[in-house]
Parts: sequence; C-alpha cells; structure tokens
Amino acid sequence: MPILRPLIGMDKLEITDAARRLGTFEISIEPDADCCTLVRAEAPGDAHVGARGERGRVAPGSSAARRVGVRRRLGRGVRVPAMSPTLTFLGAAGTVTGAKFLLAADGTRLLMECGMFQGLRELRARNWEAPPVEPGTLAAVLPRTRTSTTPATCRAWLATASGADLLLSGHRRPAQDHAAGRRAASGGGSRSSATAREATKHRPALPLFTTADADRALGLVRPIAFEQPVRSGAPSVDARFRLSGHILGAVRPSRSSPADAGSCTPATSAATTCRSCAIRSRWRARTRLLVESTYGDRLHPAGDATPVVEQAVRRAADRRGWLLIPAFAIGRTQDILYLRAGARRSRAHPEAARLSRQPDGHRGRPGSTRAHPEEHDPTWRASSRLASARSFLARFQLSSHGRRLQEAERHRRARHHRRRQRHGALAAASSITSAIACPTQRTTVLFVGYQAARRGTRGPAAAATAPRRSRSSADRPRTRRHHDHGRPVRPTRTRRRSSAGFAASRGRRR
Amino acid sequence: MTYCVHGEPSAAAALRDAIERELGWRWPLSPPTGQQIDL
Repeated sequence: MPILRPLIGMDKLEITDAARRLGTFEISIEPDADCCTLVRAEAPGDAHVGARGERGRVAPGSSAARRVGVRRRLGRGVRVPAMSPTLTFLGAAGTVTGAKFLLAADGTRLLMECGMFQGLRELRARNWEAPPVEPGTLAAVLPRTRTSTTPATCRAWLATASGADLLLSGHRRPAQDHAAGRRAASGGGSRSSATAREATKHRPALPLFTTADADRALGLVRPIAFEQPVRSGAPSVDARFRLSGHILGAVRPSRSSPADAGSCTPATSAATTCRSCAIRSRWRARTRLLVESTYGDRLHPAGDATPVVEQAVRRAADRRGWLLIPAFAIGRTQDILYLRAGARRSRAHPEAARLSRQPDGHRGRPGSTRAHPEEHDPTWRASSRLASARSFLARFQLSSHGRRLQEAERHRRARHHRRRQRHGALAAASSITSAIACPTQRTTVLFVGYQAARRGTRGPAAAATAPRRSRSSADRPRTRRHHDHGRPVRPTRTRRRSSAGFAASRGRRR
Repeated sequence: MTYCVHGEPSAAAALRDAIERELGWRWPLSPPTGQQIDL
C-alpha cells in the first residue's frame, strides 16, 4: 500500500532546501499568520503595493509594513509576479441592490457599477459604512443606471450621465429636507416627534448626501460614448460600454490582451445583463457572465396594465389634480411613458392630465428614451412606437415642465415647508407621498412597482395606507392601521391605486 | 462561468435552476459578498 506524505511530492526538508536555493526561506520564517500574505499584493490586482507602502502610507507594525520590509530584503533581484485579473463582488450579492463589482488587472482597478443599497433597514444601513474599496485607488467608476458620490472619476455612458444628472438633482433636496424634518421633530414636542426620533439612529439626523455632495459627484461624471475606450492606465485593460441588454446603460467592461486585438468579443470579459439578453448573446467559453436574477422566481401577471393607468389618469384629470407615479426604476418609467404615449396618440387620455416622475417637479430631461435612441434594440428603435414616444416626450417636456409648473412648485414648496414646521416632521410611514407633497384629495398616487419586502420598507406601507378620514366620515368604522418599521402609518388624503402589470410578482412563480 | 447577481437568494436559486435546466450551462453560481474570482 503506498504511503502518501503530507505534500505528496516533497517533504518538509526538501521544501526548505528549495526555499533556500530560491532565496525565499527568510520570508517563510517571518512571524506572520501566513507567509503567503507577505508576498501577495495588498489588494486584488495591485502589484505595486510595496512601492506605495514605501512612500510612507502604511502604518508601522502593520502587515503592510512587514511586507515592505520583506520586499526590501528580497532586493531587486526577486520578481513578484503580477496578479491575474480578478473580479470581486462587493454588492448585489445575495440581494438586489448595492451593486459594486471590482475589476482589477495589472495594478489598475475599475469599479463596475456603484449602486446604493435600498429596501430593508439593514441593507440601507450599509450606505453609511465606509466604501468597500478606497475610491482614490480606482482608475474609474463605470456605472450603469445609477451613480454615486465617490471621489473617483466616473466614466458614464452618455445616457447614464444624463440619468445621473436627473436622479441626483431630483433626490438631493428631498434627502436634505427629510433629515431636516427629522431634526425639527426630534427637537420639538410635536405629536410626530416620537415617530421621527425612531426613524433614524443619527443624532442629529443627517442626510445621506447633501446638495454639495451631489454637485461634486456630478462634476466627476465624464460621458463616454458607445465603444469609446476608457483609459485606465493599464494597456491590457480595455473597458468599453457596449450594448449588452435592454436595460438602460447596460454595459460590458472587458479586459483584452494584444492577442485579442481585432476580436469583436474579448477573450476575457465580465458582463452584467439580464437573462433573456444573455441567451441571445454569444459568449465565449472564458467569459464570466453576470446575470441579473432579480426576477428569477417571478412572472409578470397576465393581462394589460393599461386600464389601471388610464383610470388613474382620468381621475386625476377629472379632479384637476396631480397624478404621481413613483416608478422606482428607469426601465419601468420607460414603460409607463410608452404607454402614455400610445394612449395620447389614440386620444384615450385627456390633454389636461400631467405626468411627473420627479418628486420636486424637476425640469429634467424625460429620460434617455428621446435623447439616446442608440440604446434601443434596432428593430424597436425603428418602430413607430418609439417615434410616438419621442414625440410625446417632447411635448410633455414643454407642457408639463414649463414656467407655470415651476411657479406652482415654488408655492407648493413654501406651503409644504410651513406645514412641516407646524407639524414638526414628515409623516414617517407615508414618506413617499409626503416627499412628493400631495396633501389633497385631488392627488392620485399610482404604485406600479413590485414591493419586495412586505414589512420593513416604506413602499408597501404607503401603498396600503388607508386614506385619512374626513370629519364627515368620523362615524364610519376605523380603517385598518398599517405599519412601517413597526410604527403606525399616518393616513394621508391622497388616493392611492396600485397596478401589478409593470412588475413581476413572486406569487406567480412558474 | 455564470454568476447570478442582483437578486434575493430565492430568486437567484430559481434562476440558477432554470439556466441549468433550459440552457444546459453548467454550475451557475451565486457569489457571496466579497468573493473574488479570476478572469
């Protein structure tokens, strides 16, 4: 019977002799948890950690300092092999949001996507943690449809850059206002103060980012066209934005070597796309494919969502009020705009109904649909549906975001601000409707997204909240109380409608 | 190699099953946060 020694090939004495011959024996006896950490790079793909450490950026006595010392003793004759390109999952792993994928090769680091966590409180708490990768070490950030406030230069595809301007401009003010409302509540003795004090762990309440942060982040965005290479500083890293799916801004950063020059598909690439787009694409064997699994166990409901939207539009028009659709996703916003465009062309919707997707009435571009038609599938691009939508969007921009609306928005903001000072805080459980300021019965809110977490998030609580009772209906039976984060929801007077037609539902698993 | 991201564990598991069953792609994975792979 053969006896296998621990390392099969060589025993300890033979390995020691080999280490002495190679000049690595002194490293292996260094007092460290694992001598392998003394010769490896500090970060994935970072082959120059020793040089960076020698500039005095490592703490004395740290593992990095020992590594620098070892390398000095090694001298220049010993070559530290470069790390192979790696991809590290720093977010959107086991959850939907917070996508961050670190691509590292030849000492260059690119961050694919830089999304924020959303949903449950424990996920949102991660947004307050230090970034998982030092932004200053990144050559570039390559976002899809979201942006971030990292100090690294952000190379964004044209449509994504437009979307970042739209989203950050629309959300920076509510973020500050929300925190201000919480601060006012925690300092006052209003009836909402207890709720507001529980809504945040910070004393005083702080916004996740400020207007200055948003402006600074927008200043770092550099629009990149399709197929335009992102200069990362490493010759073998070739990151380009390529059409990889139907999602706005879906990209395919890739790493290519000189041997791959001229190849339409690099030999090594990492792509993020959806399932159907992945099936249609032809991938090489070495491709690492990242597939979105958000809807892995959900199906879209049968039927048409158009009647629900039309009903909501007609109601808002009849009451001469607002129709607000928190779409939560750019792709879903596209669907709604397409639907509205079709209805408008068929004159199914009244002219007076207005549609706003920005909570503060931002005079923004109506998304990438009109400005970046190159994103769309060629057959879809040529369809009359898109042409119709573009025409509608152009008119929508002129009619709905005109000066009159801006003036009305200023008055509304002033009223809302006074009311919030009087009451002390935003209604905690209906923060969505409060943030978009729809205090009257004329306003209709149409929820079109799938609310993944039934408890612990504000979306389902706001969608299910019963309308506030008027004085004349005081003798009616009390409506069921809904809860958000364990706190009772304060009813609002807005009318809420929900449509499941725009989002796949887990209850319809096949 | 295929990695299922952007999804809750149940959704990722369902997609992994579907990928193996319908496409014949072998061993799709759901990477945990912090996992590093070689390209």
